[in-house]
Amino acid sequence: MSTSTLKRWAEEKIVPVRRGNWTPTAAAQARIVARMRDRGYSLDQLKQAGREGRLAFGYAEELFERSEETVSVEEAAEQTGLEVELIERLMILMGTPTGHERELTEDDLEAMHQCARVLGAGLPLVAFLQLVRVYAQSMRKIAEAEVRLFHLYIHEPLIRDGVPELEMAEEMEGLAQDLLPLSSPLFEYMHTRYLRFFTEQDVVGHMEADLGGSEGTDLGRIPVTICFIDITGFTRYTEEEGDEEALDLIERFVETVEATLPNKATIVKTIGDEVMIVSPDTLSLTEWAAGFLSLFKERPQPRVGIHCGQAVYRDGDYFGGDVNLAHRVVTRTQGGEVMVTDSVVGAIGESEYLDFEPIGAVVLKGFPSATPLFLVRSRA
Amino acid sequence: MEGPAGLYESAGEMREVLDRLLEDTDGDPIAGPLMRQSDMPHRLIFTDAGIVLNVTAADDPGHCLQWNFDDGEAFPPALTMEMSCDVANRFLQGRENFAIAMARGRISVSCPKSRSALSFVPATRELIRHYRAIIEADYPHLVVT
Repeated sequence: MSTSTLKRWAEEKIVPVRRGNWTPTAAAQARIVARMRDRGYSLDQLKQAGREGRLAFGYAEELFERSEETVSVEEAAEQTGLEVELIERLMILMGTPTGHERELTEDDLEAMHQCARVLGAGLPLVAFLQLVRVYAQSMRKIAEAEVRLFHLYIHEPLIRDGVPELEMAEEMEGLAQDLLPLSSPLFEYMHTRYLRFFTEQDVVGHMEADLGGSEGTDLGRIPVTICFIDITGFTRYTEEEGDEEALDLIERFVETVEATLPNKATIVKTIGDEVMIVSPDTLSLTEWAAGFLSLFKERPQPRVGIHCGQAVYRDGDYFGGDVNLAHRVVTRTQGGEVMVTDSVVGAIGESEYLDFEPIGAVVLKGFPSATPLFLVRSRA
Repeated sequence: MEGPAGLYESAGEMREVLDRLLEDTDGDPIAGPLMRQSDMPHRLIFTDAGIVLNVTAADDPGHCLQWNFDDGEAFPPALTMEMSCDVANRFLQGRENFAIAMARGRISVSCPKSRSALSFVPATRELIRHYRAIIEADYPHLVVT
């Protein structure tokens, strides 16, 4: 940008400059204006946006500095000892924009050194690539949530209150500077806590498999009980009550599932009104489902399908025929019902609290042979 | 009529602990408004002790909650839970899984509106936090592992 352009932007109040004094915040906003000009926004549009404080992102420039220096992927390979193809693959997995995988910034290069250290320590490549994908997906979600929530709960209220743009930018920068260092210790804490939890589960799983005389499982396959729970009539509920009410229902529903799940059970994912849960303990998960559904006497009512078998664990998710079968079971279930397969009944054996009412063998879509299904009823 | 109260030394002690629990929750800047927001009158019946506890959002703007131990119809509850004192003690320490206890008949819940359950259940986490703090400090005989 030329000095005359900057002066003009300051005079026309497109960039907030107090008494000719260019602060770092004003300079950062000027860079944002320049970027937006490149994207085709007019000066009038930018002036209006600036006045409303919508360009007050100068803090991001300060906090997330990007190194301009780059190295080629070949140089990175030489320095780290990783193959060129592997670096490109890692860059793609890490979410680097398409076309930028061949030029690495200093930060990218440092990340590749870390990757080389992990592989050098002995983690198999196939496992490491899955880990990187899970890290990238999770971090993307976290960063997106942080930015969106900061916008909704910090930036928007400042705009609504009509805070002058320079003051707004400075306030946001100060807050972001205070908040940012706090997130890493929190990540560390939660990461350690979950590592401890899943390591304990893994140890228990090994013990149970040994005591149960199991012949072991294929690499990457895990014996697991899979449960799908969703809300029947949710589409109709959304039409009748509106999007916000429906969203509120889902949030409360998922929160209630989380709050009541047995210790060993884990939520794998939520897709709209559907929650996928896995557990190494078939009985507690089935009892949970029976108890949970008894809370819902009116529509919209949840329904549950449970099956146990072997699943392929990949990228933090569970896949395979048994997972598909569990999902098919829930689609054949009515609101307020818990439906399980014969493998669940077999795994539980005699139950002091549950009855299993056979409804016959049902051909489920995608499965050639019929699956015996049972309705679960609590004796209470 | 009040009867035996499990690990509680008496029904009176149970009422005392519940009173403190609700006082602490009411004064908590997070738990109080959260419970109030659920805006759901609920009734807890402790079957063996013959204690009935009614909790609802406070009319007084200076408070979040109001409660009484009246076994009459103080206000129509949106959710009614029945359990023994020992189950209540375990549940309030997070040692009794709510849903599994229902499946096993240890807790019975009457809740005509699904929304009421969805409001109440997540809020119980806050009750558990306060209950644990109270009994660990002053009623260690109630702590279960």
